[in-house]
Amino acid sequence: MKKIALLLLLPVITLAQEKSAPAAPKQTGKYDTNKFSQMYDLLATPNMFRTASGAPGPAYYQQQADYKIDIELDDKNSKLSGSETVTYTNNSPDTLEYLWVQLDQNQQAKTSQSPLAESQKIDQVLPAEKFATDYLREKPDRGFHIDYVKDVKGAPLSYTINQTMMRINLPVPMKPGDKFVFSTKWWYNINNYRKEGGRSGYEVFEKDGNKIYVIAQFYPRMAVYNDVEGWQNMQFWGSGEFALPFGNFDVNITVPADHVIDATGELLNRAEVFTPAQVKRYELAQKTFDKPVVIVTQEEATATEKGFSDKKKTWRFSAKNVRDFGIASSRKFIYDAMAVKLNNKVVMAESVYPKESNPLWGDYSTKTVAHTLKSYSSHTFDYPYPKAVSVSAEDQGMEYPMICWNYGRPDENGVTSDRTKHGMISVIVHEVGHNFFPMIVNSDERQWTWMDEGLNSFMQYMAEQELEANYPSNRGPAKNIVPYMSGDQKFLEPIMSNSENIYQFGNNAYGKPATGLNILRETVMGRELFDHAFKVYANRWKFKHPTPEDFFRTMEDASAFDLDWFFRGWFYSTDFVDIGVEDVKQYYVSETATTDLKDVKVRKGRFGLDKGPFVYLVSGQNAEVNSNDKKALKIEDVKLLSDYVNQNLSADEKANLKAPRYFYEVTFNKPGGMLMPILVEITYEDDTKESFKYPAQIWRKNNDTAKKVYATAKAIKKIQIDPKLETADIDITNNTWPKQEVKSKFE
Amino acid sequence: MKKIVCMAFLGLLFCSVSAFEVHKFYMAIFQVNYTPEKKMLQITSRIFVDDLNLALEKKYGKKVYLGSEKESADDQGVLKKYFSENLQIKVNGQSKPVVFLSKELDGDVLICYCRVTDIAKLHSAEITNTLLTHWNSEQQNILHFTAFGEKKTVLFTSSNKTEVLKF
Repeated sequence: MKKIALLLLLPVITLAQEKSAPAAPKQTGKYDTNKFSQMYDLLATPNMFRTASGAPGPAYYQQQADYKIDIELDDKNSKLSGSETVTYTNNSPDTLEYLWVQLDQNQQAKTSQSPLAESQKIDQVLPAEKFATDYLREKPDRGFHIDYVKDVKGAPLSYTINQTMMRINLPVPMKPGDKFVFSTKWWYNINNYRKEGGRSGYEVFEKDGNKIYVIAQFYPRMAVYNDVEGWQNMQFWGSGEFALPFGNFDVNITVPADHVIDATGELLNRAEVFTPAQVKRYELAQKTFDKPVVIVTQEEATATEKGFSDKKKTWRFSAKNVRDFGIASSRKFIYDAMAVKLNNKVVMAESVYPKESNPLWGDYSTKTVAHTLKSYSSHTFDYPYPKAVSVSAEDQGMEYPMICWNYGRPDENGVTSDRTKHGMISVIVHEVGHNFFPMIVNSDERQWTWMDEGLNSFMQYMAEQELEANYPSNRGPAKNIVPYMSGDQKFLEPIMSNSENIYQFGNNAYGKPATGLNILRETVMGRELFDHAFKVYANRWKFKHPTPEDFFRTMEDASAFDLDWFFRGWFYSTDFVDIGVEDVKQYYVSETATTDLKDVKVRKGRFGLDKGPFVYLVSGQNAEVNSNDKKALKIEDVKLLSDYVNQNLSADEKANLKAPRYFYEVTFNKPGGMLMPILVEITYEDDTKESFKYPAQIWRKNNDTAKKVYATAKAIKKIQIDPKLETADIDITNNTWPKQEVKSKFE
Repeated sequence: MKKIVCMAFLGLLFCSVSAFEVHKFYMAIFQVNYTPEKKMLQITSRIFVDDLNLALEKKYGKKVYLGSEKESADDQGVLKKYFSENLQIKVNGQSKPVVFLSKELDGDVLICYCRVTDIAKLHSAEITNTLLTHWNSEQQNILHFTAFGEKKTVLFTSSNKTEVLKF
């Protein structure tokens, strides 16, 4: 039946075009290059671990690593030493002959391969200190010093260190379901991150030598073993962050007695480390939902930072089901907190910061944490941890479970520019947001930066806009990604590129994926379908290890929206969007055939031909059409039509008759390779407007041009594509008809 | 040429070493388009406005409030003067006036529009760009030059003030 209909629809173009053409050179064949092809060529075959729907399969497993850690911070020498007992559970169906442990501090060791793998150039102008660091001073001692690795009975275990990873050779292979317990002891010199770089380290306040420590990657951490990578086996080069299994942490942290600490997990001995007054203030904060309660005041912190205690204090933290652990410690810390009500629970938003961060931090940090938890929870799931902490650390922006380091302080005179304020709020939203991606929805950062940074930047954009209408978000709006996507292709990689191999990290792994998701949400799918699918993805994979494919599959599976074309173009290629209006032809209704239409035959039924008479739509460009013929249609002036209406239509139909007067055929072209819906806004002669949206599928059979017919009651004055700049169209000079000079700033 | 481009992007890479790369970093982006039909070089500059105000203050010893409510007509005069002193172009070996047209604020960035007119032919462009690099040795000015359908990218720093592009 379908076939016949198609035949009928093919009016007799074939008959009309029976002129013999000169013999064309033989064409070559091709494989399927259609941009709508399903991604079977790119995605792995679904299996028992990961299903075609994008959900974890019936055989999905993940490993567990539980830690008991004791560390001590030597403030005077900026040195950290520790010991840990790790209980590793093999939930995989595989037998493991060795374990891989991450030694991320070694990326800063003298022997690190990272600087050797970077191209260098001479800096011709540099401060004396930089010259000394680069050319005079011996490189400082950095990286882990491992004192021992022992089994549960205290017998030494054989191990091999390869750069940033350590292989522990198991005396007996671990069978599925086995647990293995080992302990290790280590120390390292903490880096000054503002001079040496790094995601953790200390910041020194030159006036009095006080430091703020932001401590992370401070212990040998288990690598991920899973069904897609086996052991995570890529070194830490510096860009691709971490892949870590979930587990429970009990961490005892010994620091100078005058330090204030916040860290991942719940503080178990609050009464031992805070004064009774401070404990009372914390209890008040637990019941205060509208603004932060200051627990360690600026006066207290200012008094504390005047001396250096040589006594010690141990803080005990416990964290359940986290993938990592972070610590902030300083005698400079002011500490505030407030309670945050989510759907079904109450959690704490907290901040620690030095007096140099005020008044900015007291005013904004904890409130921003609270807003972020609410916004992200509403789009995914209730924040499952008991607290989230924002730590003031200059030049930083780095995330760990429940705690993150954020830059942004007033200048020496206490004045904060809007740029600094927005930068500080944005970085807090972003880093607190990372609790959701990748701390809970635990993608592999070492392989795919975009999976956490892109999704998180997208969530950040929503949270910022929910915080304040027209908040100056850097990433998310489609127009902001245009300079990147229209750039030199030599310096563009697909989003689906490994974290270490990207030129423009921020645009590639943060901006472009965030923008892509925003386009899906606002323009391609609509909020309802998108938000549901995104929520399904977050809930399916919380506390699990998703891959890019699990994300792509879930977004389609939960929405019944084929997005293979979008993922193929936006994530797997560097194609850009450019859609234009190529041509607009006006047609006029006539009862007289022009020469070119005289011989056109119209099929009737399956085998017959319609003898006419016919109504003709003749092109305004046809030389036989004179200006008198170019008039708007009135049905009563065309006998054939008025007769038809009178004889065939009911009174009801006549009452609702449409009255098209102008006929246009509009040709859209697509110089860009990326598919996108065509968004059209038509302005009529009376300045009223009408919008049309054609799904991307309009490009299925012809990837270069598409045509649409408009029969309108009012004459068209202007046609505009993508009027609200929703699609990241890189060239808007071809977006209007009649062709309009895009307002130049240079005239 | 290629090396310079790589350096420019290395700069971007450096800023991104941590998990969130909208750090305080010192970079301005310049786009120069040659339009033969208008015989014009069209120059769009994107500069962080707080950096620009500090650079102007350092250079002329006076507080400047571009992009805020406190901006004065005098500030705009200072900006024009600053551009004329720090952005110079020789076309085919001859100095050409860079005319400052207008500016607008986009978030934290001040976008400035300038043009160079009467360029019937373009064989070479020698560009001297010392905007902000005198103020901060970490400042990087990336300039994309598009002419005849081709894109060239150069980088200006405190030690690299002038670049010559040939077409």
